[in-house]
Amino acid sequence: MEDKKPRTERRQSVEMDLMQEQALSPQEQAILDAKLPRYTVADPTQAETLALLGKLLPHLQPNPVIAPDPPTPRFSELLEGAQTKPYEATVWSRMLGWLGVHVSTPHRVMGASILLLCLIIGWAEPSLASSLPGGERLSWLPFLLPLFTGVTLSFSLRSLGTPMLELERSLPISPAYRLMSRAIAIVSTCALAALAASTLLVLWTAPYGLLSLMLSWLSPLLLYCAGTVWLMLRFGPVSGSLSMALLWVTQPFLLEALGVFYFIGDPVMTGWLTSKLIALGFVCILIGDIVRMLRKLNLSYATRTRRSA
Amino acid sequence: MVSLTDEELLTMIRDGQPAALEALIYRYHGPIRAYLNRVLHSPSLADDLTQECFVRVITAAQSGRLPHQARPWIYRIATNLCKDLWKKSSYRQEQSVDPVKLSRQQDHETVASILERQWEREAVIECLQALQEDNRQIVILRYYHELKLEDIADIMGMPLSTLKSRLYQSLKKLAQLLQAKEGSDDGRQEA
Repeated sequence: MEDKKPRTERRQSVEMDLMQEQALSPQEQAILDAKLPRYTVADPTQAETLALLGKLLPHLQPNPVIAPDPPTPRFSELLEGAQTKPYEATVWSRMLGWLGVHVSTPHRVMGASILLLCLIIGWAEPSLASSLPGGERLSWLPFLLPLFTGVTLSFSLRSLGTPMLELERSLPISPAYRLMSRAIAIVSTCALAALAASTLLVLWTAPYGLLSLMLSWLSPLLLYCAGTVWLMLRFGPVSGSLSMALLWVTQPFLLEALGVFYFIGDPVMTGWLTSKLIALGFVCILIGDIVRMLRKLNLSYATRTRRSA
Repeated sequence: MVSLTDEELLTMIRDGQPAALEALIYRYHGPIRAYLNRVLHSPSLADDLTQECFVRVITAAQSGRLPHQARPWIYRIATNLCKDLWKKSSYRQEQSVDPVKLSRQQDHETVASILERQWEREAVIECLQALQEDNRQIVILRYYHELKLEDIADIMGMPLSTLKSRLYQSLKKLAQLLQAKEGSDDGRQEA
């Protein structure tokens, strides 16, 4: 940063310019003195100066022969290049690359853990149902899977409402895109893991059809994740995550009272399909509101974090 | 080499001495790039024009057109490059999609203090952008680059009295804008 003279000296010299017939008021001078030095600009690095020197030295020659810079490929050209690849390979490689970028190692470990957990639960469900009070009424997979996914989701969105989000704003992608990418990546990973587990369970124990089993856990999972993100955006990461977890855990105790709003039921329960459809309806509403809130994120979080700073 | 004046360095550049060019670049690369960066509000454009500015310095020196005072002369070349750029309609179209407002300052302070400074920096940039291009250049040359008023008048090609008047008006408007911005930020925080 260039800062050749002390601020007071600089201020005096500027004041001297104006002191004859025109002068700024003390308040005006004070605010200029306080704010203008904030506009700092980074000095060039040694490497940048050397690079510039390297480009300029040929101009000292009597008849300079200056090699042109290699042309930078335009974005459209890169896009065209990508589109010339085989369609399937591009889609799969893009998907894998996207998951590789957005899903960090802890999330991959969590996905594998969920897969393992699903298998253990599927194997142990009959014994759990008989040994725990009320266990026969509870479907363990749709109950626990969202909770574990929610932990990962809360961890990945922990910057919400903190000054760290402001720093993330300086990244080339928007915070809304970043947050939604993370959330989608995590939920997709967990859903894929649970899908694999469900397939194995159907092949292994065949309690219900694969479609029924998938709908049984997929709609609670989506509802839990959408609810968590919605509450996090409303009340902050910690309060939002804990509120949703609390709401979820109280469900089994309110089975009779909830009726079709009991979202973790088995296909054998009455109103099972209705409850799943209601859950999916809630998911749509929550996602719509999340998108609306994320669009307003730039202003609302700037204000909130500035107040805390 | 360090003890040589800028004018002596230009004479040596005219004679084709690379060491003189190296010394001049080390003296002026930072200030000229910072000036162009503040005026144009775009690091990439500032880099391009800095290089072009020094190419013109070399060309002028080789042709024997040496100034009495090198520092305002180099700034004048940079200023003329900015004016040329502003005349291009394509620049005005690009300007709106290239706002670089983020601080590159790195230190060991807290996240909150860095953010606070970054917001203040953005406020200064916004208020400077609200000034007319000529007036913005005057403020930047005087405040950030500490050129003499006579030199700035020479660079901008205007009488000294006009320059003083413009500087006063610009600083006054800048102070008002900064005060208004501070007031609106406080109001928003209270709300």
